[in-house]
Amino acid sequence: MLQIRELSKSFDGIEAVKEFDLDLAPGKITALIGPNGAGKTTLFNLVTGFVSPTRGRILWKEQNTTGMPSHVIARLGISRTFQEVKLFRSLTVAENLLMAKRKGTYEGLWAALVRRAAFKNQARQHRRDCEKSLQAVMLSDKADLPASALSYGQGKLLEILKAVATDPQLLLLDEPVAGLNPIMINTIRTFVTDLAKRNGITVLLIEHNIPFVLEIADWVVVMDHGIKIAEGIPEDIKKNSKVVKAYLG
Amino acid sequence: MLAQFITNGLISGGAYSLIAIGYTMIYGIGKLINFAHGELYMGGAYCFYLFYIVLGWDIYSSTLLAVIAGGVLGMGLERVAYRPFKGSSRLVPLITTIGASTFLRAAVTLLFDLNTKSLLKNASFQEPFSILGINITPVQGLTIVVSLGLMSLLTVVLKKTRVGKAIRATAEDRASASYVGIDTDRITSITFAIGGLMAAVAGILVGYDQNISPNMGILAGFKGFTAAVLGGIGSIPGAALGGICIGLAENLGAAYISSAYKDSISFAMLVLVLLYKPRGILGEKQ
Amino acid sequence: MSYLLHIIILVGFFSILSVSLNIACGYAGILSLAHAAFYGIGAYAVGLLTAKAGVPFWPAFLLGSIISCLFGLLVAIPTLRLKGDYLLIATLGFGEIFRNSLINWDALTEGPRGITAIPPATLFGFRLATDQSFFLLLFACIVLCVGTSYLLKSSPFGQVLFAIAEDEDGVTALGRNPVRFKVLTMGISAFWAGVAGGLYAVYVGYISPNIFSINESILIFTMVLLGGLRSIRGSILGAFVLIALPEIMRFVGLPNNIAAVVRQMIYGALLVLIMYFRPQGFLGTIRLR
Repeated sequence: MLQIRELSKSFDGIEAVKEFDLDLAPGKITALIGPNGAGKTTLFNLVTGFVSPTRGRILWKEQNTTGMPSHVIARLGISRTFQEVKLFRSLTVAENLLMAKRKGTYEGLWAALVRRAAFKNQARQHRRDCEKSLQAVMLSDKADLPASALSYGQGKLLEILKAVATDPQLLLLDEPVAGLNPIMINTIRTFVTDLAKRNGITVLLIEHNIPFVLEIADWVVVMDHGIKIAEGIPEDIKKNSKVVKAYLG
Repeated sequence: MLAQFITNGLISGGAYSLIAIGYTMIYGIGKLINFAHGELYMGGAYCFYLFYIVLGWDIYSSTLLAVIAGGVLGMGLERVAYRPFKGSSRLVPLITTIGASTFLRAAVTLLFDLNTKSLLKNASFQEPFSILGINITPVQGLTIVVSLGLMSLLTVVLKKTRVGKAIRATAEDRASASYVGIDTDRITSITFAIGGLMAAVAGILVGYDQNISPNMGILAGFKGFTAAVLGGIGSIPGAALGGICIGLAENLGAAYISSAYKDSISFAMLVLVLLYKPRGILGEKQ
Repeated sequence: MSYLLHIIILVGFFSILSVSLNIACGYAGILSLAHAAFYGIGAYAVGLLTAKAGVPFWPAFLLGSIISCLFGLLVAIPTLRLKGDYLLIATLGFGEIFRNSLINWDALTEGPRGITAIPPATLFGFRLATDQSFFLLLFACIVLCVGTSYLLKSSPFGQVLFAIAEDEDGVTALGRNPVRFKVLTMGISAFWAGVAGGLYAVYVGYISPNIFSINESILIFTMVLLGGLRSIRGSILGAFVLIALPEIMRFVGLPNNIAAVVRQMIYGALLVLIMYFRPQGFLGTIRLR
């Protein structure tokens, strides 16, 4: 589904990502790990178009998306979350989710001024779906509160819900469980695993929480200083000496 | 003729550099675009007017006191429009300095009226003389000399004195500076004072050369800001260089393109620099 | 009585201006100080078309507002990649370039003298030469402007703007192009400023470049902040407070020119005080601080 070939990115002479190759199979959960500054988030930014590569190619569903603007890439079925929770705090929880669910429909001026019945109808339908999603993660009582009222963990959960609400085929999660308590981590682990196994969504996630990674991932890719130093099934990565050295050395 | 335009450019440029350096230092220390900086320039000129013309004191005391007043005004600005709003986004202090600018311009208009005033008591002081075919008045020559002198002095102060080093440290990393025991509030205040001082000097020199009016600070402030951004906001040598560039561009543009659109040239430069080279020539990271 | 109507009319102009600026600032987070320039462009367009070219009121009015809108788009496209404080300054720069150009382009705009003898508005053949009849036209425009603002605010378009004001990257990641939305918003905002400008031209019958200086832009911005970002009622309240209340100074006996200066001092001080004491304004929910 996703193919990355010789992807490279330099910032001011520093190579953040160097000759990176990656293939992601559909419906599998791949974890991207590595020490801080290894280039993992840069890789996310490259795939989602927030940053343009200096060299290399990205192919999504056989289409060359290298250098495409990020909002276009998002519409091709790639969703992402960010390290910092990027909720729209002045909007309610439900509105945040609706924004994703709406996928850009009825957002023109014409709709705003003239086709009001249409978008109100759609909003009513989508609202029901959103409430179901929120119920599944026990956030339905917060639906009409401003998003700023959510705790950090709930916020991260909502972020993932938003990313999923756009019906993506590829989901990129940047540190989805950083700073969360074990119960939340478990909720997210179940949720994400479900997405991959039941809905067939391809997941690529960045994490520092190694136990979490070992539990959830089908495949692990290790990055250090911008290059891939190892990849394989979790069991093998655990035993890989290069990986251990990268983290400790 | 070209030499004349270039000289005029250096004269204006010198004044712009002084304003620009103040802008850049204040930005460096507080990440603030001080919209009221032009009013520090104007305030210095009007204080000089007050002391020299209205109260009739001698030129040396008047100048000294007016410059000090500029510094005090700068510190006052820091207290009112910057310090209470430190924590928030960069927008808020910009908005408050916009308010301060409006207030100061109106206050000066109230105290002195809108008319352009002259700072000259003795017209012969302003007799132009000729050097190598270039016409220049004593004050204009003084502007170039004083700008260079002040810039050099500032460089020395920043490099060698304790206060100077504290300013540089705070500008680079406020949290760490505070951590090692620097009173960052006091240092910020001093930086604003220095900015005010230099702006006041520029205001007095230009005011003497070209008369004063309550709105003289708007344009000068803009051009100073453009110069600061052009040279890389936060960089003092950049601001100095930027000032000279703006002065030259303005005068050469007015001479060879159109004199009516002289001010538009600076605004156009500002917009272009912001859009295409926000890091400026000698830029620092924003 | 006619003095009262005159004040109400002034408040009316500024209501359109503040409500439309709020669309850019409050909804989309585009802090712009070019608003008075768009106002001026609308005024000049109408003034030139009706007084110089003999174009009847309605086509001139419509055309003037569209021209303002186009200038809004023109300014938006390059400046919208700038952030916060730099955007503010850039819009100010553009505003000044426009004003400067209008002053200097003597052949077209009569320079600093301005344009005189602008004929009053005509509606279905009736000349709206009296204050009362003009007020009807103004009121209709206010209703349209406020109505549009409410419709935008309660629509998905508006929601996207609110999201953009908070986090553009988040909006981009959801597949929307924030630049398109912001440019459109500037266009809408400038359009209504042009409407106010056109109305002003036919009301006063005379326009000069002074009407759209930096001070005007700052004033309108203060009204929006005072009333509260995103609050339409707040913007109208802001216009009322900053236009009508200072009129009290007249009754205190201050001569006109002094009153004007004291007004400016109040406006300036208000900006600082609002940020310090009530950054969300009277009726707003969004705080800059």
